[in-house]
Amino acid sequence: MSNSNVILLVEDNRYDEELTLAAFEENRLHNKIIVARDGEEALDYMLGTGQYEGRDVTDLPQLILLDLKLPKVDGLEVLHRLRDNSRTKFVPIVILTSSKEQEDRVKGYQNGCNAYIRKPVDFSQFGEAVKVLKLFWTVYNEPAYDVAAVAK
Amino acid sequence: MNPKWTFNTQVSASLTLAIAIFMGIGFLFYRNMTDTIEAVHLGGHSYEMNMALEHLFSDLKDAETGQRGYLLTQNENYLQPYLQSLQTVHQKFDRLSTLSQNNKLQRQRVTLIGSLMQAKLQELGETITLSKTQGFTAALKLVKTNRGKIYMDQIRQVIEVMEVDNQKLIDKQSLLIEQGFRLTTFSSAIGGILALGILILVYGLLMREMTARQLANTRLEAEIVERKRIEEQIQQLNINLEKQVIALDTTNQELESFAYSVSHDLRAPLRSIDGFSKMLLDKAQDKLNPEEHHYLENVCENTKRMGELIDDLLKLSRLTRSEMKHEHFDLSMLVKDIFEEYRKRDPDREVQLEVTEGLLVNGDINLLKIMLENLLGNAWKFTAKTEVARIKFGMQKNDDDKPVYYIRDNGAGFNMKYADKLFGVFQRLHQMAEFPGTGIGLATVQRVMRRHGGKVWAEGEENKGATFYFSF
Repeated sequence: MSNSNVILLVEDNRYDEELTLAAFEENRLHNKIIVARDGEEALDYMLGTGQYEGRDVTDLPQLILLDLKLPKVDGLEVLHRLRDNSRTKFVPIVILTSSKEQEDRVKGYQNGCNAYIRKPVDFSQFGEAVKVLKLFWTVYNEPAYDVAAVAK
Repeated sequence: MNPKWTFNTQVSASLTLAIAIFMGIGFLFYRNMTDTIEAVHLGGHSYEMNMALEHLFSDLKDAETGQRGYLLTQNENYLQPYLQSLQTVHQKFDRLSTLSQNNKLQRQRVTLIGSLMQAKLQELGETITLSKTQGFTAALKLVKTNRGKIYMDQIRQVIEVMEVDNQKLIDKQSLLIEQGFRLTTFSSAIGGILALGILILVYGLLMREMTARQLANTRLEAEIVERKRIEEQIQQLNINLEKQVIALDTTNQELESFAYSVSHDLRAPLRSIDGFSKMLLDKAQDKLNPEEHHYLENVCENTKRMGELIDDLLKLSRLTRSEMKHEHFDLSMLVKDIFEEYRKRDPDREVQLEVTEGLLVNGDINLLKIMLENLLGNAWKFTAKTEVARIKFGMQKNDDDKPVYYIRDNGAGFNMKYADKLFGVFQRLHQMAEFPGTGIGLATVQRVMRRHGGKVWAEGEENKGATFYFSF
């Protein structure tokens, strides 16, 4: 178990953002959620550039929830760049998107996502999905590095 | 002309005949020439013989004349003809002998003439000698024996006979020549006319053939023009077709992007509607009366439904767009597999399945799987309220011997008067409460069949069951 409590949510739609945050609240998932509203912001946060210049990049989130259709820098591009970087390579990334198109799924896995979830319309199902996600990736799943080790 | 012969055969035969006729005429002409020449020879020969006979006789007469003259005058000068004759008579006789060589009869006569001639000449010589030695009276005595006269007469007779014969021969040859000439002229004329006739015939055939060919040519030319025109038409049609294909492709691409945009963009607001409605429901739980509660629940219910509808529409459109791959496979196996899936999903239900084994088909296995899932799913769903649920999959042959497959169930069935509404998109004959569903299943089935160039239809009876037939 790592110390970091942060989940990075990359989502451009503010309603979806609100719903996700509410879902976390509802299910009492006590995480600090950082929201990036486009691809550029997400990369800035992870790599400590732009508006997040000077941030301690060793402080990696436990989980990244990534939407695909993002302004500025596309979701798949973000995924690709993060997988390219040796430091962010192993952070669990779950694609959370509306699309069920096979093309998107394949590209997601090709670029190295850990999981692909289609956002359900039904809110309660959505809440359920979020809960399961969080539980799995942050509780049961063992990450590549412990946060403490990386800090060293 | 035998009409069965080809043009070439007709012309060849005619020309061959004409050539044969000409050759015949030529041959006749040649033969006649040789015959004529021979006849002329023979005729000439006989004529010459007669001439020779006359010359000989003339010599003999001369000799006689000389003898007479001398006898009468005792003048040596009068002996001249006699002496001259003696010189030439033998030559003339030899000539006659030569001429009469070929004819046995004439030869014999000539021999006779020869003997007679010898005798006569001898007599003449005797009288002359007598006259010289013994005088006129002694000579006259010898003459009066008529020996000389008899010889001369006999010679004359033989010569006459010979001349007559020769003349007959000459006449005969003349006749032959004349006849031969007439024959040749006649046959030449006939042959010439025939040949001319044949040539005219050949000309006629040629003309006929040429006009026929000309006609054929004209017709062919017209046909070529027509074909070129049709070719151009076809080319134009092809161009149009290609344009249409491009237009279709564009439409398809537009449809794809439309479907994609639906899958993304419509769902997001739906999610928000549902999410916030639920949250409202949650947060304002205590503050709402049952009616208000109910309203909010309806909102949620309907957004969920809309999501399902959108998903189904997307699936249906994907069905029409995907590429078909035809292969041979066992339809019965597929039915059994799908049935097993339903059984695993719903292990509590007891449904009897009857499958006709080994029905092989040729089609797109994925599309047909989706279709069968829908048909079997329906059968499974609508037999939920039946005591002993039975589903049967089989095949029968229709009127034009094509195989028709069917899935029969003994479930809720339907009223036949709604039979044509069954396959419409989102068409349902039941309430959501009775049996769930969006009503896209049968529209999907029909679309799969359409893509295979086949069709689907149904028969049913309320509460007794339904049978869905399909063939492709």
